[in-house]
Amino acid sequence: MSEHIAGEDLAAFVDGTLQGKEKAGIESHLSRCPECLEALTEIVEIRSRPVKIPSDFLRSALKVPDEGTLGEKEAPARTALPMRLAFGIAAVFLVVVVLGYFILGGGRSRRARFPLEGRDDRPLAEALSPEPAKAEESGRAPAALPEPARAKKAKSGAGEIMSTAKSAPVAQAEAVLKPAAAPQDKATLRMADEVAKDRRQEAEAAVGGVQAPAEKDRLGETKLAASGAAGVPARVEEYQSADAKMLRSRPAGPAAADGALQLFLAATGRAAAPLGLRIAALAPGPFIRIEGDVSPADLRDPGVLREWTWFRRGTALELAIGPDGSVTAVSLIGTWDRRAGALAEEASGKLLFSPSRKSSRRAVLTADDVPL
Amino acid sequence: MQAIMGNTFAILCGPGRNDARTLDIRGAFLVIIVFMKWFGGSDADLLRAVLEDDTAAWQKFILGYSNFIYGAIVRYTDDYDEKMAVYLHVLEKLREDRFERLRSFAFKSKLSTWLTVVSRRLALDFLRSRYGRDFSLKKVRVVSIDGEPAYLHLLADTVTPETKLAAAERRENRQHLESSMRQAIDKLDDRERLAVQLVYFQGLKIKEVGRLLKMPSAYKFLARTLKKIRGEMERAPRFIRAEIEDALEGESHE
Repeated sequence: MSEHIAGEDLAAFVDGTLQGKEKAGIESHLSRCPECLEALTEIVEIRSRPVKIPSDFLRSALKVPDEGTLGEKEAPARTALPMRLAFGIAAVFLVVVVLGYFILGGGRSRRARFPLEGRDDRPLAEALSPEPAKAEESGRAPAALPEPARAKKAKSGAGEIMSTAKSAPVAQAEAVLKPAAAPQDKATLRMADEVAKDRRQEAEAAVGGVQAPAEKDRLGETKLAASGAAGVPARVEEYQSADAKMLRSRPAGPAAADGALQLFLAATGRAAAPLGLRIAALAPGPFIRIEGDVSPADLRDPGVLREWTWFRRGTALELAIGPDGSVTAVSLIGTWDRRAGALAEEASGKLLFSPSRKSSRRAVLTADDVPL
Repeated sequence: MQAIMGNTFAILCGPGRNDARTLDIRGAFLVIIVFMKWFGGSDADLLRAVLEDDTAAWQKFILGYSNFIYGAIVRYTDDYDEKMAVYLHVLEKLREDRFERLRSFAFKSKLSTWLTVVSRRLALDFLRSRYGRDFSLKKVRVVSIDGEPAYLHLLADTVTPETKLAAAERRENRQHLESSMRQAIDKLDDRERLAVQLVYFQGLKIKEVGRLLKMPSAYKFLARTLKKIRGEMERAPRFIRAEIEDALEGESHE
């Protein structure tokens, strides 16, 4: 028996790179040499079952300490983790913004697109005038009012509101709303006139039980000049009309931004969870809107409002809030029966808002059956 | 390949026109050459760098080819420490005498295949030096048995003079059959003999043997070879055809 096959020749035979006589010689040797035949068989079997070496072996071979890296696995992980984290945060933020737009902001913009049933939806100048429909139909200035104080209030209020009503956001909002609201303008105004008249009568009947507050700022836009016997109905009208104006003057964009901001504040722990309020609003029960110097996000426990089943539509509560967030005074606005009024005063006193540097804040709570 | 490279060289360096189309073709060939160099010549470049005592290249070699070394080692030992020792021994032998073994590699085969062959050889040498030539028996677990199993007694009861005689006759017949088959196999040519041994004695798959011996129809080749063996064995006067067929069936593993 001649010498065994050299390692490289055997490898070449396995790879199939040998040709001619060289290949025939190897075949001849293999057919008569059991050792080389066994070696060939083992090499073929080893090559057909690839294995992966443990990293410990490589560490030992490269003399790398255990906590070191081999340049294959650990090194990319150090740079990949922050990128992954950054993308994760970005994705969460995107989801929050989208949710804020559709859940929190979308409702308000959608609410403002259809006429508010049973609500005085006219501009404040018309709402404060005694005969709005007539004035609009005749196209002339409203007639003189019988009471001097009322005429003075209407004149001053109209002047102020007209100046603000022609500001850019309001004009834009009215331009957006005009096509949808145009066919129903006359019917809506007539209905609003009737509703306002009914409410005025109801308020005059209940004037003994409700105290009209002194002069206060109204959302930083108007001043309530009226007082005494005309205070309550004028105040109701003013709230309703200013409310409608505010709805008109809030397009979808800022509303969505507010929603996202509320959610962001809740996520960062700077305000109570606004989602709780919105989820509560979607559940059966009264829907309560909070406006003024505070927002729903400032309410510490929004779930409390779900229990306010006595809070009826068309009524409102004005709250004075101290720097620590507690309610310092409660004013009932609109027509309240005695029991509901007592419940409102008691429940409002238990509300707690987020603290602020301002010495006093004001909130107006209005009830509605339809969630925003 | 040389012709292709020659044409490429002519296009790249020849006195052709320097218009835009020629330059585009030259650029394309340049890209192809760079890719060929990048993918095709990596083994040679790496080995050249290792032989120049480049530490980074040696580390790259270890990272790239340790799987093949390890694959050759795990066949012969299951012990972790032993595998580690053999692995480091193989690397040490490869580095020995300024990479003398690697220097002898002539690129007749793939580097990975050659490393498998060399690693197997070095691993066997290492283990034989430690345990002797029959080191593979180390894998067989020796379990002490208190006394003989019960079935041996049962078998002992069945042994009679008649059964002993029949067993001896079968053993003798088998020996004659094996020697006759060995003679028939020896009369085959080298290629046929190698195929039969690889398939029926070493247990390789017919498909694998066909790839090794570059036979497109290995099944037909083996069928013809078996027919030859059968013919040779039939010429032997002592055995009848049925016995030969039984013996052949017992030998084939598939």
